[in-house]
Amino acid sequence: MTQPRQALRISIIYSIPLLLWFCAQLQFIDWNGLSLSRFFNQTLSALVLLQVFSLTLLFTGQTQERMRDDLFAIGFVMLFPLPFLAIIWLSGSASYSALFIAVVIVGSAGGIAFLLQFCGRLIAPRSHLIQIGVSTTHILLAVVIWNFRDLWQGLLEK
Amino acid sequence: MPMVRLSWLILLLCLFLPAAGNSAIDMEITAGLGGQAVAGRATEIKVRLFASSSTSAELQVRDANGYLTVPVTLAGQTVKHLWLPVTPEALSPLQVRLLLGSGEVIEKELIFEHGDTLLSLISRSVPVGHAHASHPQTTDVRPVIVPAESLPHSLQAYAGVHAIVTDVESLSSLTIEQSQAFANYLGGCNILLLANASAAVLKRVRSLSGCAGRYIQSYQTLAQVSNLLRELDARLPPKPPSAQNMLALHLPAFQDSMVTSLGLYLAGYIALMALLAWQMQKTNYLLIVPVIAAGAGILAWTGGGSTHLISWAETQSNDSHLRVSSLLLLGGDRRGENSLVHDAAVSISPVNGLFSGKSGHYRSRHLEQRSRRELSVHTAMLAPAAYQLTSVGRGTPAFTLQLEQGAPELVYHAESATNQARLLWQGYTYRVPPLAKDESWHPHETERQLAQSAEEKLLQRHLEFESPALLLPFGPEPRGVAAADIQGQGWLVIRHNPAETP
Repeated sequence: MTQPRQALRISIIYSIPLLLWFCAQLQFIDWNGLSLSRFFNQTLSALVLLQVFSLTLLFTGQTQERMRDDLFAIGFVMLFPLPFLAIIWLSGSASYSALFIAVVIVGSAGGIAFLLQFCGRLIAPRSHLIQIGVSTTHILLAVVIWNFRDLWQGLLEK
Repeated sequence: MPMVRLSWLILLLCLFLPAAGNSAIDMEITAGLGGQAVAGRATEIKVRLFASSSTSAELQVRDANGYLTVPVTLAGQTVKHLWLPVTPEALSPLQVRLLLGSGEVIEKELIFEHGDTLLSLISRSVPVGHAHASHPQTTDVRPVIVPAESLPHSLQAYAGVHAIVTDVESLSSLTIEQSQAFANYLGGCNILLLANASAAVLKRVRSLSGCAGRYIQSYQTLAQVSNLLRELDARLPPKPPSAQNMLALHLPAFQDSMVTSLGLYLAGYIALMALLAWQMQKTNYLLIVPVIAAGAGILAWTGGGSTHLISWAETQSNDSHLRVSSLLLLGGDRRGENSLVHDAAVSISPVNGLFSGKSGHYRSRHLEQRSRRELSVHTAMLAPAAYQLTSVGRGTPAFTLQLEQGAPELVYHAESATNQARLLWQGYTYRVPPLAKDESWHPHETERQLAQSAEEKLLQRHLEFESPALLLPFGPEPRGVAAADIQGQGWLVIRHNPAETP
């Protein structure tokens, strides 16, 4: 299976439970006060995390793909949740800066993932050691984003 | 010769143009109701304008509700007075700006004395009024002494008024605007104490009032005023439901429709992507699909949204006045600019905190014909702008509701039968069968049911156990707002009139 198809598959798989959670929350949360605003901010944070984890899953253990396929895969991961982001924007709950920060976080993670793949392929395309190193760095990246989630989630709520 | 004429023309233009452009304008603003304001409720201001020559300008008022703009045309060497309803903010002064055609701006600020307690307006012409001001103030009412000319000029400005103490002479000196606002105040079953009013005057004023004029009394001495106010206050009819309660009547339907449409949109998109990914050999082209789907969603849910009016009218048996409280929801199903034209006489105030979302400022402006007003607001999806409207309607209900030996009796007076009325009594509801004209009906124990619908439950909460009330479907009110494109729902409550109990 090619990297873009794999990216598409991962995005579809995570978006189904996300959709169920989204609809259930929208149906059952209190529509008064700040709960709607908080809910849409939570959705935005969840999307960022899911996209970063998708990138980690996508690039962990992969060294044989072409650069072009890697770029398309990152494109799929970044663009797939656009309809969710459109709804968040329509709800007016997230500011333009929050949406921009969310895109920057995922874009940076995608850029770093691509650079790691590129460097690994450049240094030693068939080395198992390099492959393990690159995969470990991808996982570390996801752990860092998870660990500092309070920091960037705070920025998203501004 | 032409050169001489041209020179004269230029000279004349030089003399007259600056004079036309520099019309000297003076603006003075005064706080109405003695400068007192009740937190979150409307009061009014008086704007005095004087221009040395004819000019037109725009008056902008910035208050807690947003911006109100009023086009003003001033004749030369004349004074113009405007009374405008405003809702001042507790912590910042009210800002009034006059924008002239020449670009000049005159800006004034006004500070109100805020409080949480309602106002009792006492006419300055009432001798006892001066004494009442020195009377110890109760914690729930503030006495304010005002001249008759300062009594409110619009129904909105009565929002913070609990009672009026005045005399017949003051009432006879009211302007047409003041009289209309005062009539609406009386129609809403509010308190009026008239000094030394004769029985004939009382009868006449009571005939114009809601709740059969039970809250209009005459008094002779100061000692009576405080006691009368307290007595009448205890007997006031139940307050209409709050905006939050009225929202609960509409929210489930709105919520269901939005959740369904958003769910279908997202599920359809995911299903389409899955199908295309499964069918297509080269998936790279699919990168465009999320962009198209997001664009379609934005297109579909951007623009002016729908308008809903949820009305709740209350009256008493044999009373021709309806106290109407409505909740107006602008937008919410889309993101964009919403606007609505309504009668300037409709008392309308924004309700904050019902929905989240970063809605824009409320803006309203008087249209060229001053009787209409345009309201516009930017709303986000799922976050409509909510407004509370209060008005007094006219119309004799089709039913009379009496208590016969402790049990309610309904008599139907209209020609065409209705089969949607429900009677609420002693914790149960009864379906009223279609009745012929002048036919009466009594509830039977076998027909009783528990309250099911949201409106029945709402009425049940505001109904004394022994007291019966009739609940009927009702057209959207006030009519000054209701238009063809407004989706409305409403209920009329006919309560038992305690004065009619044998």
